[in-house]
Amino acid sequence: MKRLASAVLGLAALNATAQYPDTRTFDLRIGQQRPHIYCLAQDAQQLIWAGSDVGVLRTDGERTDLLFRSDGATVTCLAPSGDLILAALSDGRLVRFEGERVVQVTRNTLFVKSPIRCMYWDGTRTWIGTYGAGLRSQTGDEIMSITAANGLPDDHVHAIAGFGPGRVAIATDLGIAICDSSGKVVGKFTESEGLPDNLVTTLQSDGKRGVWAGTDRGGVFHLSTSGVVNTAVTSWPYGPVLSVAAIDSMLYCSTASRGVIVFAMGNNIATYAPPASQLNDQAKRMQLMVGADGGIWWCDGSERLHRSDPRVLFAPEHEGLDLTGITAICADDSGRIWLATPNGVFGHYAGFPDKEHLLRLPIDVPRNTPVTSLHADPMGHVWVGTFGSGAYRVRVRTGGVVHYTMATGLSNDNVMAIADDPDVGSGTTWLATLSGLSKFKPDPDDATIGTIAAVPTPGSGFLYDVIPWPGHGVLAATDGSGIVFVPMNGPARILHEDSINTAYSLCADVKGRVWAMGPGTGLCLIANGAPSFQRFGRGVAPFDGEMFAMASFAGEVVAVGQGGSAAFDPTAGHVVDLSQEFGLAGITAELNAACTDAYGALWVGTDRGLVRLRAVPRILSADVPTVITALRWANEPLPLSGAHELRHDQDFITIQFAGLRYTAPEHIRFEYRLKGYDKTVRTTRDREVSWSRLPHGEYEFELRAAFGGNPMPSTWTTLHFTILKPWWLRWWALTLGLLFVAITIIVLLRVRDDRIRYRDRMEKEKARFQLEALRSQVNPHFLFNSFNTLIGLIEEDKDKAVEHTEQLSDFFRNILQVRDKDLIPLSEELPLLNTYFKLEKQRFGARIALQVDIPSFALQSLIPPLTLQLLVENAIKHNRATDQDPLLIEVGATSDAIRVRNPFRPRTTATAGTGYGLESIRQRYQVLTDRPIQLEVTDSFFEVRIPLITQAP
Amino acid sequence: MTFLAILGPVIVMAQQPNLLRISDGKVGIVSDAPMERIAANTTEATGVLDVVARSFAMQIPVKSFVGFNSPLQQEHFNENYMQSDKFPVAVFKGRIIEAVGLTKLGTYRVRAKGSLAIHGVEQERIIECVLTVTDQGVQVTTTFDVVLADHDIRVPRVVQQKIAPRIEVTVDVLFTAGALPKK
Repeated sequence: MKRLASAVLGLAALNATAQYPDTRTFDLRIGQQRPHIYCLAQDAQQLIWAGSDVGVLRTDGERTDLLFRSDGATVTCLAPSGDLILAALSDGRLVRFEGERVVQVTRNTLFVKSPIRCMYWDGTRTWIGTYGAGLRSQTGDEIMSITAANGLPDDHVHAIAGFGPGRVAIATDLGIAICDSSGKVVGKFTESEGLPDNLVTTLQSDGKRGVWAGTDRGGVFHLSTSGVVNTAVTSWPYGPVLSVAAIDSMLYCSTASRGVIVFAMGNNIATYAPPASQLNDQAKRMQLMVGADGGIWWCDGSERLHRSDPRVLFAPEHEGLDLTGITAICADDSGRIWLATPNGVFGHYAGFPDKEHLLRLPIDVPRNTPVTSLHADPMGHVWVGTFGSGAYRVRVRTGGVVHYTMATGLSNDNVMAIADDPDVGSGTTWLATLSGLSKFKPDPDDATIGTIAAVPTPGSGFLYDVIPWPGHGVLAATDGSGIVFVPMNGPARILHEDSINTAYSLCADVKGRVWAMGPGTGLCLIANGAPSFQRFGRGVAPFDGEMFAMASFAGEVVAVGQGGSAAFDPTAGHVVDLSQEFGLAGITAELNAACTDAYGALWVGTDRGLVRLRAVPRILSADVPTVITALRWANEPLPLSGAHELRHDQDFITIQFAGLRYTAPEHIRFEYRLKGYDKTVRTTRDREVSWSRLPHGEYEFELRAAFGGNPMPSTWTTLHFTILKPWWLRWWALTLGLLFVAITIIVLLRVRDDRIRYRDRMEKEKARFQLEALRSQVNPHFLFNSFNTLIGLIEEDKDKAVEHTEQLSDFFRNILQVRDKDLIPLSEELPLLNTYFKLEKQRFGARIALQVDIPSFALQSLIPPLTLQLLVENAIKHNRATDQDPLLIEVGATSDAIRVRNPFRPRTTATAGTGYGLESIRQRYQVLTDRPIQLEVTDSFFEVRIPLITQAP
Repeated sequence: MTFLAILGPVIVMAQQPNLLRISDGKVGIVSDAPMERIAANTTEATGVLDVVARSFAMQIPVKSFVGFNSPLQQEHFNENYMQSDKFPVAVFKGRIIEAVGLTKLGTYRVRAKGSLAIHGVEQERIIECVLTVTDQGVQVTTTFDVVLADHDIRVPRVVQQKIAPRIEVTVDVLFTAGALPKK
């Protein structure tokens, strides 16, 4: 399809691989699944979100994640809403995302019948446009609804966009309505107001100036806030428009039947068509989106996303002219670009007026003498320098040509470079040849003609480039003699000949400084007074290898070489590697095939085609913004904002991140370090890092990224998180534990102490008891009484006396046997008692009586030795016993005690005992058992009950 | 547009100069399936067209379609597929998008946008039609497809080769001023 009113570099055919503007494709596959993507959005962190029939996807160009499965429903619309992203699904659900987390899912059956087509965030509230239910807006519980009843032209809304401050424009089937922030319809635009068609399908806000709109039948137009309708393209044969995006002076339109068309100033400059199978479905809107970095994105219903970079235009051919063999380029002051191709020298406007096409210079350069250089002088001439045929000077307006060769004074027919002399002006031109410089002076009366003469040039005379040095003169780059300086006044000389040998190219930057470059020299700054040239970019590709072309662009010096392409910033002093960007990967170019035009754009003629870079801000920036997209424990996402405190068992951490440079995401390198764990910085190309079994502590994850061969930036993106100690390591737990241990030790010590004391006491008791028993038994009183008794007996009855003495000796022998034991069985104590009693009976006769009645089970129980004896002794000691009233002492046992009972007849004349006997028994028993000794004293009797001990303690 | 709410038989009201009614016309449906071609039509379409507001409403009694390949086929059409007892009429009502002056003579290609209700299911459609304004009135011709699944009309598998999933509808009606409804 030939267009007569052509613009720059358009592509004639519908071609899915058209590369102008530079477009690349991203495949958003999830494993093996290929989602069909219908809508796009970009969040505040510059990640791209895509809505598909599988769910909501998010990508950074390299890595795609499925953030939400739609389970059969289709995502009909995606839009940012403040810091959140909203996704509308065809089953009526509305999902809100904060980062990768779903924070809210609401369902409204209204949206099933009237699906959501568009959503718009105006800074305070989200407007939702539905196809069939008008416009809705919801903040909290307040729902505002604007329908045909409130003034909307129709309930079927296609698009919403900002329309000046505080207002929104709404595109419906029957025109555009303008609403203010309170929901009131304040304006309406239909065909009667000048719209080319009522059915407006898409809107894109144009800042404060208005909106761009696309329609079903009437093509695209611009509606300004003052109500002026401007049709961008005069006739529209492309069918229904699905989406529109405008950036700088280019307009992208996606159409239902012809794919995506790019217009520049009203002229079709490129078309991208998706496969035909995807063109005829209403659901596929081929939504266009302007990216934050200036790229234009669109989806086409398949799993592919396309990104077109309007900053970079790339054309392998134009209007049938092959642009892959450009040998020289130059730009003139009127905005035209001149290209030297094997088919001739052509000029073209670099801007976009309507009526200009390729202008061919009327010269015929012989095929074996290719054009090496082009120069447009300020007087309207174009110089064409060739390799072997001298130079041509063409007056563009008239077509007049003057051919200069060696015969007419040119120093050599091999012209390598041509430049004019701004100091002298008026068309004075220098030509660099292989035999030195030649200078052209126009005739003062007729500028179309002039004389050319050789200028003696020191050194080898083998010149590659010439450039004016404003204020100083002219500089030439030579092979073998470095840089030759021809001052305005004075002889030509070589500058700093030992510092540079061969230079291929010279160029001047925006500040008027001249830079030279040769093979392996790096970039040299030419300065008059310095002892040698300052060099930059040494060792960095392409400055360290074979250089091709160099030009000043966007304040920096851009060089294209065999090792790649790079831009050098003279003020900051650093180099940005551009080898993978802008279509400059792996190309070759001729020495003079790079120039900057009157608009500041850079043109490079490469072996692949013509590349143009627009001078937009930050085009040469090397930044790769990094963003941490997810923090996960095992597979559970954690919120990214706020303090991150994880439990001690949440030690399997995954951090996902992204580097955002959509021009070349596969060339992004990351460096990261987990402070608190890693000692060194690690590099990766993945977008995810995991650690398992992290010990507790504080961690800081640092990340930075660079692309291509560029160095890493100095700032890091960081994420803090803490893994808390398990509760058993916390300070309070430790303190409690310590306390517990201390208490335990103290208690144990006490217990030991107590035991020792008890044992001590036991020993003491035993000793005392024994002592007392012994004392009482060796009681002189007892002996005295015994002997008295004995004396009486000796006198009375010799046999009884012997018996008594035998008994006495028995008794003492028994005492000897038992006095060391702690406990003896009752069966051994009873004979003791009996023996004792017999002795006392000798003294008291019938006045005392003992009755022992111990059941057999109690005979095995234990008792401290001489206990019963002591009790009976006490009974005799403290109670009256007369013939008439004998003292009967009963010894018995119950199931748990031994009873010693006697009638209670205290003596009037008391032989006071020490009181120690019973007390010592009591103490003894305290040690042995916790059952106390029981004393029962009534008027009639006195009873002591001592507990039965069945086992030794 | 409140008059569009009237779905019943159009009642003759006092003549309003803006409103035109269908005086004549044919609506045909064609199902072109691999094993059978069915073509039916009806002449009992009724409707109104407001030439100033550019809105319209049309309704067709489903039982009035004739021309089936057999009476049994017509019976199935009414009972099983269209369920004409439940949904006796098919309705299309809406507006014309282009701001054309329907009082001026001439031929216009316009888009009619509105809701098409068949078998009880409404679908929003934008249908291109050709309006020819003559002295007699406004002639409307259009052809469009109706996708059976959109209107919840199920075709059992056994007859899938005999009934096409998309039915081609052809409309050719004439709206005139002051015509009495056909009864």
